[in-house]
Amino acid sequence: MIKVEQATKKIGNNIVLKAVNLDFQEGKIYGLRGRNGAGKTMLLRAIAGLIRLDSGRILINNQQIKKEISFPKSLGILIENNNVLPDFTLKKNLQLLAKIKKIATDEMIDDAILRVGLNPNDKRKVRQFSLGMKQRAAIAQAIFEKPDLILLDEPTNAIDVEGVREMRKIFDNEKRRGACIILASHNPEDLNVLADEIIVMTEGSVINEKQ
Amino acid sequence: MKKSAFICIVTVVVMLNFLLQKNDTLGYFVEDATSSLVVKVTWFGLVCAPLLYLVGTIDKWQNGSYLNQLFRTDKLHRIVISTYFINLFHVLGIVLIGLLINALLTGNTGSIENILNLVGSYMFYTSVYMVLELLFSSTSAVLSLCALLLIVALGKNNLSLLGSITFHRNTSIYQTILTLFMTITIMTFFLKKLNQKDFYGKGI
Repeated sequence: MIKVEQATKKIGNNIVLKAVNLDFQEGKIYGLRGRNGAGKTMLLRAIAGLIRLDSGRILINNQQIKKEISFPKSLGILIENNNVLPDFTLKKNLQLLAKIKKIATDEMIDDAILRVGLNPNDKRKVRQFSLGMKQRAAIAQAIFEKPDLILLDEPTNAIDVEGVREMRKIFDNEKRRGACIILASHNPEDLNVLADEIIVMTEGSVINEKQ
Repeated sequence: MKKSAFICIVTVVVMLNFLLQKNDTLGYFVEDATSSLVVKVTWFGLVCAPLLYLVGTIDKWQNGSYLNQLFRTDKLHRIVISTYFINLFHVLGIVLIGLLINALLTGNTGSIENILNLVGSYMFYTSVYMVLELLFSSTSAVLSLCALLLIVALGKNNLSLLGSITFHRNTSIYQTILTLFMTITIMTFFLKKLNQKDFYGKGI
């Protein structure tokens, strides 16, 4: 499904991705492990088409990112902190996003909000949510269109212990649906429980593929 | 805070400019080179004020909530066109308020040619601002645009040859068409650069 070939990216004098070669298949969860600055987020950004590689290429279903397609055609991401517009309700946010691709129905939106443990009829603006609720809202945003590829950077940040279990169940269900999930996390438990394969990165390189 | 400060600055500059202008001149157009420094400076403020609305409108694409819209869009040109027209709509809205105040204060409504000329000028400067903010930052974009307009305001040379770009009221139709063509070229360049841009997110 996704082929990363010799992906290299420099920012100034720093090489943030060094000739990374990886394959990702649908229906699996891949865990990215590494210290801060190891290149996990940068790899997720490259796969999402948010950055251009200096050399190498990334193919999604045989289409090259930034050449044949700007972004993966069916993608859900959680990379940034502010994933939803703070001055709208969560449902309104998802309805606005749904208008772009016209895939998701109101039922799908309500279902995604319920699955992350929030209320679709909540009239509060996202600005008024707690940190944990904002993170749940961001996850709802990443999954509500049932994308083929889901990229998650530290998805369980700020979520309580019970919530983490719920989120893991959601990711597992998405995998069973056939989505390819790439998950970067500092929490080894997240990766050990969820990931089918763990990829260890350091200083922009993959040092231990598929543990 | 940002909005109220903006409205105060615009109001003061608009009033000053309109009160200082000659009766037959629409405030948005450059006076001749013999105008006083005060007139030139208030003209500069008046012309710059609507463009200040644009600050941050491109930087916001680094924010997660906007990136989520960006990667969902199949055709980037749609998002570029809609962003451009939303920005232009707001800029021209501010100009329209200025023109109404001008008409109330001086009774001068300006001709259709004058208004089209003005629309052409702001179409051009909106595109220039968007490209500068995309390539550099909002601060660099504002400073560059202000520097450009300050040169137009304080320059001793008659820049009427540049037509709409230098806010000359006597602009021929071919100059307006040229400005429109330049705007389209700049927005095409914007689209190309947006496709090549790296999005690292806010604060990274």
